[in-house]
Amino acid sequence: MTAVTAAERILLGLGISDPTEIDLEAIAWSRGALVEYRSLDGCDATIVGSARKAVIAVNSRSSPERRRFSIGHELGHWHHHRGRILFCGSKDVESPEDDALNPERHADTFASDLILPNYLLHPRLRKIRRMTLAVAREIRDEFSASLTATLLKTVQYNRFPLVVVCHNKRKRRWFRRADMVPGWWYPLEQLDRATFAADMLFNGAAEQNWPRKIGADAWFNFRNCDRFDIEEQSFMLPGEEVLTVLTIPEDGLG
Amino acid sequence: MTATKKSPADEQLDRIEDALIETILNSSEAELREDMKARGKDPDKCLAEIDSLIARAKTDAAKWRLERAKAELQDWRAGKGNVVGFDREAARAKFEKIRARDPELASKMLMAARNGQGLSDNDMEGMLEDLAKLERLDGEDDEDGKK
Repeated sequence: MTAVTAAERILLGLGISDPTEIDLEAIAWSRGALVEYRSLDGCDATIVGSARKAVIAVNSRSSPERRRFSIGHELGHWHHHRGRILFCGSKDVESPEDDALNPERHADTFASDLILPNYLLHPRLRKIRRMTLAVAREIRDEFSASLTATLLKTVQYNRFPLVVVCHNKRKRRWFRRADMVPGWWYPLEQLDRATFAADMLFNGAAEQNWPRKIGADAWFNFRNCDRFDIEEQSFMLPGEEVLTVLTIPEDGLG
Repeated sequence: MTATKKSPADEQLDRIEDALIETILNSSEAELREDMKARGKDPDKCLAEIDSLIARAKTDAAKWRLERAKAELQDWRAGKGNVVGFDREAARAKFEKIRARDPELASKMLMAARNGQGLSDNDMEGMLEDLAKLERLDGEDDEDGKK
């Protein structure tokens, strides 16, 4: 059983039993924080806080999912770093890069738990037999989250043998692996041109409707990896990046 | 403030209530179960009913908290949150004071500005307005505390 996180405790304390009830502005108010929307130039969100109250400003030009994540992120700061003035740029909010000491990552974790709480997400994931982008998008819509945040939480749940990896044109930016996937499934630093992801990123190819089989050696380079076929499905992210969901076959899980 | 004096009948009722509670608290689980059975009631069924009643009351109270937050927010937006204009100089002075106390904020602002990603005049203006709003929110909290 997963322990209840601080963000989930807040949701439970407000009787939230369905993702549609996650009204972030009301939740913020219940914690003493007012949410405002306005056009911001140099950052995605700001928080101005005293010991008891806070005003959170979110960039009105961001997408609705991004705005939601920014509110959750600033509430994370409010929870962890009360009584301060903070401004968070685009790289501070919803960045999947690993850095346990970075306070921005603590705020991201809080936001993710608030928008995609385990106690609502896990029962939903347990009903799914196979994870595809179409399924992930359905869940994203139910929780009004971003697709990236939905996939990261899905990987963390460790029900599916997934590796989620993000590349730009030069290199791998980050990746996450479900705990059930052994460590030798370590994605290559550079995108192999044979992958569907590379076709999308470099040639503007359209997204695949369904995960496609590909030799594992296009994505990994451990010994004898060429004897496995894996499944690949990608989508484009803003800023010329591609995010790929790789499904590892059962006989590759060791 | 003067306390309202209770009538002798009310005082008697209070004593009976206290005695009943004390009896229940001093009884063992086995004694309570026996007592219930003697009254023709199923103790397990009674406990399940009470548990479910408590769970429902907790959920209702939690949902009420969310509804109250929604209503309060709406009231704020229609009232004090709608106030136009603020003392810009006072807000700027307050911001500078906070910045001087918070080296992390000062250094982040400096770094962002060096990288061409600093706060614009528009962002700064918004932040000053937020500070003024924060003061109103804090003030309202103080007023509520005095009530």
